[in-house]
Amino acid sequence: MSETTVEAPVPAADERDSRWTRLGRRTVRPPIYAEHQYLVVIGFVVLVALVAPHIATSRSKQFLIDLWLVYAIAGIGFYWVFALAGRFAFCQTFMMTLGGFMSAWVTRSGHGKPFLLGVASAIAITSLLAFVVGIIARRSQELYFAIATLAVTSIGADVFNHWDAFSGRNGTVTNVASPKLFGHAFLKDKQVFWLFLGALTIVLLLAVLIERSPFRRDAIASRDNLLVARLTGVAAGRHQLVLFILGSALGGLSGSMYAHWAGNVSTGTFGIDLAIGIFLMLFLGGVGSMWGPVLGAAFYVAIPQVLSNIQKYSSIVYGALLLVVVMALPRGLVGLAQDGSRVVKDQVRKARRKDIVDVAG
Amino acid sequence: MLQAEQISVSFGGVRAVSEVSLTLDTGELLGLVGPNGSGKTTFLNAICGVVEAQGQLTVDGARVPLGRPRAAWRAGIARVFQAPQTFEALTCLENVLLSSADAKMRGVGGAWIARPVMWTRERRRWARAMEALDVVGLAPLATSPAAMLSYGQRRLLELARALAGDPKVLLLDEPSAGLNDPETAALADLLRRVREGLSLLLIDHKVDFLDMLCDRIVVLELGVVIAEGTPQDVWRDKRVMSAYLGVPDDAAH
Repeated sequence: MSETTVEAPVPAADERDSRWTRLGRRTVRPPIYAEHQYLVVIGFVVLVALVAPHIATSRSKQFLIDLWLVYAIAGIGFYWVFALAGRFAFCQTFMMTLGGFMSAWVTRSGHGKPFLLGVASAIAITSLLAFVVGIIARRSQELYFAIATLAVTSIGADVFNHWDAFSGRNGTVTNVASPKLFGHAFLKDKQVFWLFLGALTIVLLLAVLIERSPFRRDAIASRDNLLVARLTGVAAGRHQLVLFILGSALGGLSGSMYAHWAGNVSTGTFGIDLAIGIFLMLFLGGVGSMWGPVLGAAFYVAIPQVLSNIQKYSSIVYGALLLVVVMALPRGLVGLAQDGSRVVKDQVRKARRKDIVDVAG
Repeated sequence: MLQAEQISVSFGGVRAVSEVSLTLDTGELLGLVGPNGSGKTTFLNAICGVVEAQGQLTVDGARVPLGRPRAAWRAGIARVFQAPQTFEALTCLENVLLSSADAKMRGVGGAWIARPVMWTRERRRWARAMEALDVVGLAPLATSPAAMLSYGQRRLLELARALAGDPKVLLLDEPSAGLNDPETAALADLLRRVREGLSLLLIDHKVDFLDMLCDRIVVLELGVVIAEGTPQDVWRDKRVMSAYLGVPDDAAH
């Protein structure tokens, strides 16, 4: 039993009339609801829509921008699974592969179903698989869950390599139909950009809806202390399962869109490099924010390209850069951006105060 | 209100709690005491579903399955831990909101589909959570991160969280641990205020604190009930004295 004396301001009887009571017991809401997340999404999308076409001065640059958008979608899914639900899943790239194959299979010439149905089927199959895996491994935590999901990835890759009717010869499907929406085909990378930006916008809005809901705080509680969360009435297991399903579905969506864009998909398209890469995106961008994987994906896609000028040392510089970012910025690039905006706000506030003092004499 | 019958808990070959039965009436404050290792906390863990246990538990006549924490919460059992278990990544208000008795519209359906219903319920939950924070004196800190609180404040936050769930039975595991005398007295005052309509099961080692609050005390030793009664009767019981002070050595006679 601990008997150390600590400062515990248990209120005395005469102090019970708290400031909140004196203020007329006004409604107090959690600070997350006071943030302008919808505006941030709109601002972000407008900025990307305005700036990206100017950056995309070549085919390779346009390719990278499209790749960033498609990775960002998978990254947000992984944010839900790993950062919100606290599930150490190692199957996000497998979900992307499954989504790609499913969508290619549904829309292939023999079936001839539209692109949207292909995307929907990719989302459905990855959700279903995540549900089954989540139920089977519901009691597995942390590394054990990672091992379970890694096993699913390994089994799945083997199945794809041998199931020619679904995933093609040697796990490769080619001639996947280009994306087509309401009669409009997205054939070029520049056109695909708008499709992907639209999809990312919807995903970001869905993410904001989760951020601004009790679902987020229940998920965080379940992640941080499963037992205490359950004791306080949180449906911890259900929340973790749902977030795993939703995150995997975004993996399926991302894989499906990539397959239609690239025109092919194989078991190597979303390989082990990307499996680790998705972790990197989240940690580089910042685990504590839904914007982390979006910024992290940009960093992940752009930096190798930027460093390609110093070909000989690019791997060393890239590795060192990753190390510096992870060590120096534990809250990731989003944390850096938040600190920067706080400094700017403080400066503005100080300047305003100075103006008032000057005017007041 | 709460009836525990023949509750037993074993860890491997060790029986930590052995066929303990006790009844807690509505509005009663029952103390559960015993030397270290007597099975008090394990009994609490069994009641709130933290550990697997054998026996039968009912709250308000309804049977509560053992070994399932959320089922215990649904039955109206809330728990305050010896070391405060708050969620540091959340604000004080969010910590309290977790235990809201209104469990509906808290999943993805509320977030994505039925948002107007979710908002209506959420506003109600905020108000109830603020009331609970106000009772323990933490309302001014509602929007502060729980990580900023002192040890004593975290203890109060945990109590507010338990109260916000409108429980029928509140289990308190050494709530006065780490508090000095004035703070312990203030905590006793707070518990007296909140106990109306609530049954409390209190584990503690401070005799004055127990005497101030408890209607009845049950004493455990080695996982078995050795005495039960009013505080005065229990402290006079020879088995209780020997459990705490030891049995006089035969050689001394």
